[in-house]
Amino acid sequence: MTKEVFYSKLKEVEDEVIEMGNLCISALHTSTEAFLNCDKELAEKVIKGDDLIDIREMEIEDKCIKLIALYQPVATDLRTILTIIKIISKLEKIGDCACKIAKITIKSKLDMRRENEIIITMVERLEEMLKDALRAFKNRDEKLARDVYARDKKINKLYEQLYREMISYILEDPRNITMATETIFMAKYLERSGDIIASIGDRVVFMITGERIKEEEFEQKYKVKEIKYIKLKKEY
Amino acid sequence: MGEKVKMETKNLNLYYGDFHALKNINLPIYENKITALIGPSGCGKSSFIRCLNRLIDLVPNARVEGKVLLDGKNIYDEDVDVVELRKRVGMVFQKPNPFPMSIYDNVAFGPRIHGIKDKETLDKIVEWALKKAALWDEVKDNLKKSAFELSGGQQQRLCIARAIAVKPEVILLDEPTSALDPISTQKIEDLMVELKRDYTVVVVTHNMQQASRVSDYTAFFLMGELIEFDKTEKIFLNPSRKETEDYISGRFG
Repeated sequence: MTKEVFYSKLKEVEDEVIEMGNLCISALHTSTEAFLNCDKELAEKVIKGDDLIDIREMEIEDKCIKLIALYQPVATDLRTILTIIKIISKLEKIGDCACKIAKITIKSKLDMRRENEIIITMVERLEEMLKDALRAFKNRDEKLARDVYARDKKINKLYEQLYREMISYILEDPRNITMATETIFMAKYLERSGDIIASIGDRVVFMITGERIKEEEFEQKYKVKEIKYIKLKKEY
Repeated sequence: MGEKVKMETKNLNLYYGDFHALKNINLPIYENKITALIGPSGCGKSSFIRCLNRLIDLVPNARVEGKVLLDGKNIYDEDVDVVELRKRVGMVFQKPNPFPMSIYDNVAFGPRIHGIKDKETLDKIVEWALKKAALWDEVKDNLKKSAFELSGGQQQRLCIARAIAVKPEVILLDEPTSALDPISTQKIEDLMVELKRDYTVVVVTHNMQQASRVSDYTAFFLMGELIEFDKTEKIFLNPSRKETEDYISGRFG
C-alpha cells in the first residue's frame, strides 16, 4: 500500500519533469525566434517564463527530498530520484541559456530579420534532442538516451561552422561586426544547451543501468577498468 | 573478493520431512565481516542460520545434505563435537531470552559449562563480556540482580554478552533487534560493528536499512534459494537480480 503511494507520487514528479522539459523546449524555440526576428516583446516573454521554470525546479526538488526522507528508496528507485534532481538542475540551466539569448535580443540595436539557416538547424536539432531525452527518461530507453548523448557532436560542428561564417562576415565588412558577434554569442548559448541536453542523456543511462557514459569515456581515455580520482590525481 | 573465508556452505540442502526448505545453497561467510541474510518470511534464512551451528539438529524430521565448512572442516562430519561447535559458533535470538538467574550467572553460564570454576577468572570473563556488549556501565553495581529486571534492549545485550563469554569465533544473530526500540536497536547495531573486529558476524534481519547500515555482505534468500550474494553496497545500489531489486525496494514480501 505505502509502496503504491510512493510510486504514484514518483510518477507525479516524473510527469512534472516532462512538463518542465517542455517549458525549456518552448523557451529555446521562442528565444531563437525572437532573436531571428529582433522581436524584443517576445524576448521579454521568455524572461518572464523563466520564473516558471525556476519555481518548477524548486518544487520538484522539494518533492524528491520528501520522497527520500519518507520512503528511503534504494537501487533503481533511489537512482531515479537522484537522476530527477540532476535533470531538473540541468533543465533550469537550459532555461537560463534561453534567457541569455532573450537578453541579447533585448539589448540589440539591430532592427531587421536575421536570416540564418545554421541557427534554425541548431535549434531544431536541440528541440528534437531534448524531446528525445525526455522520452528516454519517461520510457527508460537506454538506447535513445545514448543516442541523445552522441548527437551533441553535431551541434558542436554546427556551432563551429557558424563561427567561421560570422568571422568571414566580419572580415568582409566591419559593419557586420555587431550582427556577427551577437550571432556568435547567441549560438554559443545554443551550443551550451546541447552540452546540457547530452548530459541529461548521460543521467538517464545512469538511472537505467547504474553506469555513466562519461565514466566509460574516461576509462577509454585513460585505458583503465575503473576510473578513480585518487589514482588520476597522482599522475598530475 | 580478497577476504578470508571463515565459513562456507557447499550444496547445502535442508528438508523438513518432504518439504525442501533450502535448495543447494553455496555461500561464503567472510572472516571479521558482517554478513546480512535478508528475504521474506519463510524464505529459509532462519533455517539457514540454524544450519551453521547445527541447531537444526534439534528440529524433529529436519534433514541436512551438503557441507558446512568452518575453517575448512565440515561441521556435519561424525567426529565433530556439537557442544564444542556451538562454543565456536554462538547464537543470539530474536527475543531476548535471559536465563532465570542473575546477570552475573547468565554471563558465567557458558564458561562454567566449559569447566571454568575459578571465581576470579569468572569475574574477569563476566566483566570483559559485559564491557564488550556495551552493558557493563549500566549493570556493574547490580550484577546480582535478576536478568529479568533489565529492559528489553539491555536483556538483548546481556544475551550477546552471554554468547561472547565463551569466546566464539562466529556469532549468529537471528533478528536481534526486531523486538527493540530504535535507541536499543542503535546500540545493538553499534555493537555488531564493534564485534566484527574480533568475530565473524552473521545477522538475519527484516530491516533493510539495518542490513544496509551495518553489513559488509548481503545474501538475499527467496523460497529456499539463495538468489543473490554480493557486497552490501552492490546489493542496495544496483543489484544484479530483479527479484532482489523488487524485494529491497519493497515491491513484494
